[in-house]
Amino acid sequence: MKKCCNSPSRSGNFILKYLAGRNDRNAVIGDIEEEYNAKILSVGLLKAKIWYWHLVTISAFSFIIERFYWRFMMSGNYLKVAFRNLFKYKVFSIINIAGLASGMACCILIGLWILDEMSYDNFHENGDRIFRISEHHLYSDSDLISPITPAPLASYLSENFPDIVETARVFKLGSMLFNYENKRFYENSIILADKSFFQVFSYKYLRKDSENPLSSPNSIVINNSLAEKYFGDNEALGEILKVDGIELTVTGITEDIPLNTEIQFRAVISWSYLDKFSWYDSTEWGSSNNETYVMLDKNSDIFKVENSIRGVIEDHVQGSKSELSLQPIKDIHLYSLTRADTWGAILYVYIFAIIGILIMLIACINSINLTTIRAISRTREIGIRKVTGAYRKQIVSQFLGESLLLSFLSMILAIIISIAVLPVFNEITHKNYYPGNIGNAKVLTILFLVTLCTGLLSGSYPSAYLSALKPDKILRGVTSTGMKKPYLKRVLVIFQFGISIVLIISTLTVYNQVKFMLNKDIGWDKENLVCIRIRGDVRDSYEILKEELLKFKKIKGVTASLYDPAVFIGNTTGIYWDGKNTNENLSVGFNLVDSDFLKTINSDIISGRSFSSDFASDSTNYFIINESLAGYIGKNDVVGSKFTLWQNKGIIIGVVKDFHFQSMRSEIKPCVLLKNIDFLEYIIIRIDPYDNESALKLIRNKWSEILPDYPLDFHFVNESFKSIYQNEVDMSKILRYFTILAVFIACLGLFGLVSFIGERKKKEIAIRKVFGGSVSSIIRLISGEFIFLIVISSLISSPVAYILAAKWLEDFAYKVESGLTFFYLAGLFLLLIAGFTVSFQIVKSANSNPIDSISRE
Amino acid sequence: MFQNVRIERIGEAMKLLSRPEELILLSIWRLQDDAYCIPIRSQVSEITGEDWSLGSVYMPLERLTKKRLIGSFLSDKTPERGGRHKRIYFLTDDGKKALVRIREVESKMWDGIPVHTLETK
Repeated sequence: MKKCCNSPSRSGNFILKYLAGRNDRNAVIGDIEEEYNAKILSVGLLKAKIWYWHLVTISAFSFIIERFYWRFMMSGNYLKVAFRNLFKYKVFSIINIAGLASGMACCILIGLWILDEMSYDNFHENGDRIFRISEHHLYSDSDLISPITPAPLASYLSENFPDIVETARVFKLGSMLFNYENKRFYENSIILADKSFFQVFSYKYLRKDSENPLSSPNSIVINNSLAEKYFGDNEALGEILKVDGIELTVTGITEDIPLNTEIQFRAVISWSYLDKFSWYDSTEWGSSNNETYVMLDKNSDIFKVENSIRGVIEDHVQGSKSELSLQPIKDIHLYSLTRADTWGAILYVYIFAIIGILIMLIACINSINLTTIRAISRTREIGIRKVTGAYRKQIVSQFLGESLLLSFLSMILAIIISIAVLPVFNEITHKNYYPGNIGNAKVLTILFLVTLCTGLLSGSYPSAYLSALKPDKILRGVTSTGMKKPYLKRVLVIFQFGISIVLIISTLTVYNQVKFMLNKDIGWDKENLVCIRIRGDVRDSYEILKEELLKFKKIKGVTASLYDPAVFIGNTTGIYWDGKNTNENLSVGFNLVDSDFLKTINSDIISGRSFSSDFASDSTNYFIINESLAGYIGKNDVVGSKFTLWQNKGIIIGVVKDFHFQSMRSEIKPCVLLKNIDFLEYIIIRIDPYDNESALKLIRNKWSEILPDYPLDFHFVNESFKSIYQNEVDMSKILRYFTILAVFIACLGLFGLVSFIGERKKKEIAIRKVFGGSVSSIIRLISGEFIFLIVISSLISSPVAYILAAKWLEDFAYKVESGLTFFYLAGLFLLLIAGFTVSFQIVKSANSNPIDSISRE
Repeated sequence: MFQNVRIERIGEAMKLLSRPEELILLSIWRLQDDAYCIPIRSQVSEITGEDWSLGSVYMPLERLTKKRLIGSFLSDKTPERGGRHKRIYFLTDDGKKALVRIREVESKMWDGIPVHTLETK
């Protein structure tokens, strides 16, 4: 034989090598090569080649048939069987898919919310270099972290610290009256800012009239929607807008800024606007009104900068104890420094992430239980499959595949559900999502992963259990042995209801705390109080307005103060009394009020007297303090003793009973009231409780008569009181929905279980009935186990719930007792719901005619 | 004890040997040390006068291996085959016994039958 390295074809070899499923494929190929070479000698090259390629083709063909066709056929068969089962056990399928889908929908919404919360202020170009300065006040009785810092701080920092390359002050004004020609509206989210504002933050201009529109005095930059509202199609640049009576030139227009930023604004006014106010002093270190943002140099060490600026305030304000620190701008939303700052603290992100996972777990457990019990009736199928040659691997993948199919069906339903409930969700969370948000790549990735995990998790137990069954036993009918002791199922049910109970108790706790805070006797009467913001020259007309309004019977009282009575924002340490320990750095709340303040809000003087317009000297030299402050002063009778607030030396004329003027998270602070009609910000009117409508009408008429330039803009004090607890109210609402959902899903699962057990015990029930068993004994037979499970799960989960509730309540100085009642209530509630769920099925099987069940044999 | 069981089974297996299997078994015995696919194929083709495809040799070889009538090993790599192994087959004891049985049965069946009586004109 001639020396042959005459390989027929490289590609053919490759195919053969791949197709020959044997471990000695080299020997086979060697055989073929040798044969090929022999053929070349005997019949010629062409015929040999034809022979060779014929060989390759037919082996490829049989390979395809073996590997793909049969696999494909089997998958088709699996799919067919899966759908048959889906339709055959309709109740099971509906329960299973509904449970999974509502769990997933809940995950979608929570995921959407969390992603949104995490995205706040991520869009600033220099975001990792921008920080907000926060001041940590250390008082002798308490401490307070505040983002509000003194006005001169910004320029001091940029002049003395080379690492700080840019500073921007932001002063949040709230709502202002805008006036252009005949258009006059109150607009909210108006801020004052330094001219560096747009250099520090990445908000984009649409149009501007100069390089830096905020640098010229009396200029205002408005967003696009305001520009359209006031100027329509006309060019807004260069027009004059009146804001609270002061004329400002529009020098720039920005795009509407995204919702996920903490510096919300619709218009920015240049800083010089503040010069118009007598109370504002740009060199005063002692009072804080604005937020200060700094941008650091690229290479600066944050900790070094933070250390070097720490004591700046202490250096400038004698006797103050406070530390400055830097807060990254991205952290402001999630880790807000002051509680009043915003809703979306990181705490809520965690809470809702956990709730989402728990609800998904409940749904998965449902799916596991339902799939397992349904699969029991499919043991025969598995037996036949095994007998005809199915490997264990194939059975496992069949059942995993089925549960994946189920979870992907649920996913589609979940997307539909979440789009449908999006409006409700928006309302609760005060967000503005639209269905397109769900199409976000991140949300879809999360959803896909959740679906995959759900499918694998819920399919894992049934497939592992079923694939292990021995075919001979199954086919001989000894299958029930496997489920005689369904420990796992019991544990899962206990777990499900445990989670439900924790959620129910949490909901009850939050709900009760909210109710408690909203209804607690706060020491004054917050109902029927109307509050009107004083702006521009309204102050000058206050006396006339008061006089005119008091003429009406339906107006019970008119007064004014610096703060809305629901929240005295101001705190001060500038107080002194004889015998005060000078080292003590006590922080007290204060309010500047008109004479009838205490009478109008209905709080009680316990000693001394209230302010009165009869005493001319009441102004600035006389103080009223609360019980708490009287306790600090410590004398038996403080009325008449000397007291100093800031520069005002005077005497205490009365002590008022402690009333809540700040959030109930903290104890009632010491408080001092001072009569001063020059700094009033709110007019407060008590109206007839029985006829709010006509009283409001009176106010409206009088107002437009006396102050035609200002549209009436009022709110009720009880609304602002409620808004202090907005977080808790929202949380209570959301928790309620999620709890209902969790209980609903758990009950779905329970319903499925009971109907299955009813089905399995059909014959037992029939035989019991034939032998004289009563309906009630049969009900006890089926439901006994579930009552037992629920009792167990409440015993296990109650301590957990108690600890969680106590932890949450720790934040409140005034709180409800989380007594045992809750736990009884939660347990009872769940028992009732579960009882109601199972009763239908149980009564059905208990009342069934024994003949129907037995005669079938 | 196991030995006995196996023999019994092989007795059964022998009954199930197909004609191609029988031929290939015999051909392996004839070729002795050089019994790999190619010579087996050419020998069988030559004797029967039909062209046996490679597949029709592989399949009986596999079946015989499963019935443990033959065994195999990989030869060393040879340069003539482009550095590839050969799979060389040999008869096991059971294979040899099976051949003997077949021979016995065959000859018993032919005993007393003159061949020329079967010839047709």
